[in-house]
Amino acid sequence: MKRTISVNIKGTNFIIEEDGYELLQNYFNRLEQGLINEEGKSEIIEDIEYRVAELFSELLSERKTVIEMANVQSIISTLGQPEDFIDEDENSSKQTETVDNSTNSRKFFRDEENGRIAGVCSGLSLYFGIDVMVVRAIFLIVFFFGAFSLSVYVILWIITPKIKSNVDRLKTQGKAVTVDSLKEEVEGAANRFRKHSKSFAHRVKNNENMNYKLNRLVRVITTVIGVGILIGAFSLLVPLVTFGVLDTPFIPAQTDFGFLSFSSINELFLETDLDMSWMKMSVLVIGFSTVSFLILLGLRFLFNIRNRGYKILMSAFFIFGILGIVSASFISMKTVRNLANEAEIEKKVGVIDASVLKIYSNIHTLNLDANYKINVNDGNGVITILENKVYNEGIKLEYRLSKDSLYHVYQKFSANSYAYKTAIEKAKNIKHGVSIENDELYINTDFTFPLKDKMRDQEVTVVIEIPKGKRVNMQNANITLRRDAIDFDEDFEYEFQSGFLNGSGEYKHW
Amino acid sequence: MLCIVLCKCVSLKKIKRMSLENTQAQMRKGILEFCILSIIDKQESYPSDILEQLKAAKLIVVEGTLYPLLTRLKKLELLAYRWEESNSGPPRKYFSLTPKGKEFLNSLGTTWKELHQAVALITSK
Repeated sequence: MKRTISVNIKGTNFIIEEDGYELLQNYFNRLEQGLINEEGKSEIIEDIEYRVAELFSELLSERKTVIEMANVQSIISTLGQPEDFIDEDENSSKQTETVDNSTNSRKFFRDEENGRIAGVCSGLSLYFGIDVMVVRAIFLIVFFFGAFSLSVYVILWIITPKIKSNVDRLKTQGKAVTVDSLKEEVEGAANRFRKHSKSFAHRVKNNENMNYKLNRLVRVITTVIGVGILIGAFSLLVPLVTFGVLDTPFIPAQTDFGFLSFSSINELFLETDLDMSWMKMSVLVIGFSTVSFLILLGLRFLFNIRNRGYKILMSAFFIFGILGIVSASFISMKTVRNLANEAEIEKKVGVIDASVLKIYSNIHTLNLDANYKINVNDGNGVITILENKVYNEGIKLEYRLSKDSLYHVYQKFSANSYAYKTAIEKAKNIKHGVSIENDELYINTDFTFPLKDKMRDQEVTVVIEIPKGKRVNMQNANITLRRDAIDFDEDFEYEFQSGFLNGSGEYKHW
Repeated sequence: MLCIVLCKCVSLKKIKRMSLENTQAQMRKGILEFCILSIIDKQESYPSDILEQLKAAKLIVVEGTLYPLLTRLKKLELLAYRWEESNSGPPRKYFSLTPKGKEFLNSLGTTWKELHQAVALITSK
């Protein structure tokens, strides 16, 4: 009966009889003594250790699992006593002083085992000795400044071999492939394996390769999703900062400064200053919460973060976003209430006596740049803001029966507000030019109202009363009022007709 | 270094001064390096391969002899190695000749031929 001990030689465990181990230990000690003057002492010993490990491996089989004392003896005699093969007279130590380390030079490998997609970043981190998160962060940052880094990644993926063994791993790190470094690596791999097997313990056993592939697939998918979410987040951030924070005008319109910014749009619709700043705040909260949430979500996918604080932070941003939406909706609803009551005022322009009333459109040229046009009123008008006045285009025309033999012309202004009284005020503030010259009617195609009145569905309608049997001529349209199909009494019902004059002076009869 | 050894071998005066054992060791060592380089030149090999061939040719008695020689040749930049994973045991160091090593081996080959002829010529008398 003999005691055995477990010995790790070059990453392999051997069970050796205790006295055999002592013999071996003694042999290596003597070897070290004998080689004390030799330049490559540690390397020679290491090589011999490899040989010992190999010879031991050859000895072992299913039946034989223990290295016996006799085995150690025979191996030592095969290797020879140190004094048998070490010659002292050599002045080799002096001659070999110019040692070249190029055999240990670093080589770059991909580290698929610890990688997210193909292990390029992981390999680089090993090569440069930087934390892999830092390398990934650099890649991601560069990624947002162009696809450059993506292409670099793909190129490195294609041209770099992946780590197939612990030796490659050591080469990537630039560590000399020595006993200790290899041992360290083997232990590291064992730890990694333990971690993996723990998390996948519930999966099918004996199917490691399958697990590995599945695991890699999951990692690739989560990485792609993560990067996608991050790209989305950053592409949201750009307009958010430019338009939300810097208030860059972006809506094409004719204003003193060319474009409308988010604030000026607010100013155009929202009633009070409080509403405006409230709305702006809400939109910024929505925007930044969304971006922050997405960034956190993307990072979570990328780096598989399972942290309670992180979850709370994400929930916080989510709740902020919802609150922002609620408050923005509140302001919107408040503003919509301002459209609740419509008021209409009618102003007589004049009376015309003619056989046929000719109407001409009068295009008001504001020295406007057509590039800044935006469409309002179903594509028939352009909104313009100059010197705190809103210029709107498009005039409605209505035709009804005159009570006498004359043409009567009226202007009808309408606007909305939360109260009828204020709506009337707003309607009164509308300015529109109509003139009668030589019994002909000239209608301006645009109208204005003060910016402080806000956009409250202001409209201008020119009402023309046509005498029985007479007609109105406008461009190509001849308008006569026909008797309605339904004929009740002597009292004829005449058709009500209308049309629209757009900003460029074209008339469309409805 | 080897040249010194060969010079020692050729120079009869010096040989007379040395002990027999030492001479034999020096001769064997010079030849051994030549043989190791030749083996590696034929095929990239790891120590056990080399040992097997050297043992078959009865050029070495104890395996330990090889390792200091390999290290020395590597330090002289005549050899380079790469690691390769092994299915059955620890990873293996595969040695190959550097360009400098090939040159070195070539001149050794020439010297060996000359030496062989010289020895044959002298001993046949």
